[in-house]
Amino acid sequence: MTFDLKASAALLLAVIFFGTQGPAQVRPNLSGGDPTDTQLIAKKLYERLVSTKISLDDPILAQMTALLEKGDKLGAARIATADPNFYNTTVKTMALEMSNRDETIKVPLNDMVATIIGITRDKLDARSMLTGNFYYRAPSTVGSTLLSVDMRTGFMYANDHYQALDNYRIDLMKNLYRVNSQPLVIGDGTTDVIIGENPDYAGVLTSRNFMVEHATGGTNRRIVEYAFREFLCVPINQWADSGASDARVGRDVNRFPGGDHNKYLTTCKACHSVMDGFRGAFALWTAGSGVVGNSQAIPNADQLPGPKYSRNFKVFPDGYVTVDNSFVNFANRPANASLFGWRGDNTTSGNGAKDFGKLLANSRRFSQCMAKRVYKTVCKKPLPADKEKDLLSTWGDEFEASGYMLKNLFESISVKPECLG
Amino acid sequence: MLNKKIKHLAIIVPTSALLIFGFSNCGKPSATNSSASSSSAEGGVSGSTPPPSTPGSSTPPVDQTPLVVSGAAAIMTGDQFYSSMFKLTGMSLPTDQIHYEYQARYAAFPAVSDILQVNAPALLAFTSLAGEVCQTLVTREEAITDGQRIFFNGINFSAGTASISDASYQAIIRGMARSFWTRNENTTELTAFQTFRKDFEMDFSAAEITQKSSSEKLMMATCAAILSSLDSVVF
Repeated sequence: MTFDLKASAALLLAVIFFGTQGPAQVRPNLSGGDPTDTQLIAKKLYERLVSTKISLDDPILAQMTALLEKGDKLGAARIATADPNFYNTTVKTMALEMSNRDETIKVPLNDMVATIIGITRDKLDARSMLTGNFYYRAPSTVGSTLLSVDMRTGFMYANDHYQALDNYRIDLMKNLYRVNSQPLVIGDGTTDVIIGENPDYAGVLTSRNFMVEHATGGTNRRIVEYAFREFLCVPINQWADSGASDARVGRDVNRFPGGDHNKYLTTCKACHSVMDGFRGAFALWTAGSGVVGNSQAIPNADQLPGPKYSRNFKVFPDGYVTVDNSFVNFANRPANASLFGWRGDNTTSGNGAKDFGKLLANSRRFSQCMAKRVYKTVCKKPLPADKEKDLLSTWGDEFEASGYMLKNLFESISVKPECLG
Repeated sequence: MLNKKIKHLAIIVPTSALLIFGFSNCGKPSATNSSASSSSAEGGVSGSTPPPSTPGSSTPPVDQTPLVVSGAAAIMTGDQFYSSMFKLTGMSLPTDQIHYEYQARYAAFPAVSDILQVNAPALLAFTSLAGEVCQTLVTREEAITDGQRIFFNGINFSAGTASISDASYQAIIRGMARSFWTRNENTTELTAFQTFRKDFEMDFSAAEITQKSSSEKLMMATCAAILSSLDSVVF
């Protein structure tokens, strides 16, 4: 994290004008007694959903306690999720971990995380995380705080806008708003960057953050790996299938590693058969120097796969040549079909990031993965190994029945006996 | 020199206090409380029915089982601690000092909620940041009329620690315990703070003990000790 002088000066001005006094505080009741058992339960529920402590004399705690005493656990959870820190801290923590290769929370806020927070707050269908054509941002000023809104440094070439939201601890619940249509850089003008619309949108998969993390350099295979890892909770070694067709494995994969074809058949093919089958979805996408591009967005541009798809083409010239953004789902043999639970109009193939996102979003695995992530964020312990499969199956179904509402998912999981018990 | 001493005390004393207060009233943490890995896969799902195409309006049956919580605990990350402190002390915007301290300590804060990952640098990071927040809190409340403050009522900041009665000091501790720990302090903790106060005041000369700065520093150190203790950073 860095902090520049201009931002510091702006911060100081804001402090001078508005001081550091926040919302009305709770005055402690100095003659009050120790918390009751129910208050302690309410406290724990609040802390885990909101990720902050709460005063014993806070009326919110009293409201939650009263509801718990009536047996209304969900009602108590809903009180907690109305707190801004549910979005600013708890949901943010879950999304931060999904937003980078190291899966660490020690990264700045970014467009992907802001969008996930917005989807949760606005009770959008969570599948729009992988299918939507929008993103979330804050206005140019919040109070007297000026935020970077220059399209080049704030959104398209750098992350300054979201970094500023972090630096100034801006209330994301109150200030994020949705912008329909994802922007893409399609050129550099004399005075400013030229922005076009994203024709191949796929929610946060085509956000600047996700693309910069996984489409910078390489061969666009990492996008597939991390899409599965973050949104289906399945790392590559668990969906590798050496029995799948290698019809789409690229020319850069050696079929005789160390002179041994069997090694390819038993090891390399297992991952590449599935991964390369999907890789074509991102054939027209690339990222570099912090900016993301898609040739479909550029008027009159050739709609041809980028040079990543021809890298090291002499390794095995008879390998698959990517000619368009079609993809094939080779993760559909019995074990993987059962693991992912593919559903929808077309589960065998598609075109572009858009169809790829829909395939993942409509799988049963996506619902279960969201339940697992919420459980980890709120309950902070492993799922019981002997019950994990059944629990996630049930919770995934409940999530779908609620209309894929992430906020509801947080509330319902927080009051499960397996969570805080 | 005095500022350095206070900062030293503000780090050392609360850190010592952590050993006393650390587990006095929080639930026993589970021995294996590591956060779930997102990389483990489970067995699969069966069937290939179409996905729900429209948001469902059905809700699951209401579960009437009473909610039970265990003593399992997790540690706050830096961002969570930052948000928690701001909420509890009523701040909305970080001062430069708070922001710089947070950045300086950022790497030391826990990155995961696993309480077994807590180490000395993390504890010092909590204490240092709490110190800056408490400094700002003291400055803010000094400017408010006594009786209208949230935490430091009964404190005559102009007169030094010599003017702070035991009852006033206990009230400060009670108020912060209820706000930051969601409970009252117990007898052991109160005694520890009273001992801390005596030790703290021994470092001041007879003249310094009557000055405003001694009260400010005592309140800041007390606040930092409570705000950064394990009960404030474990949840």
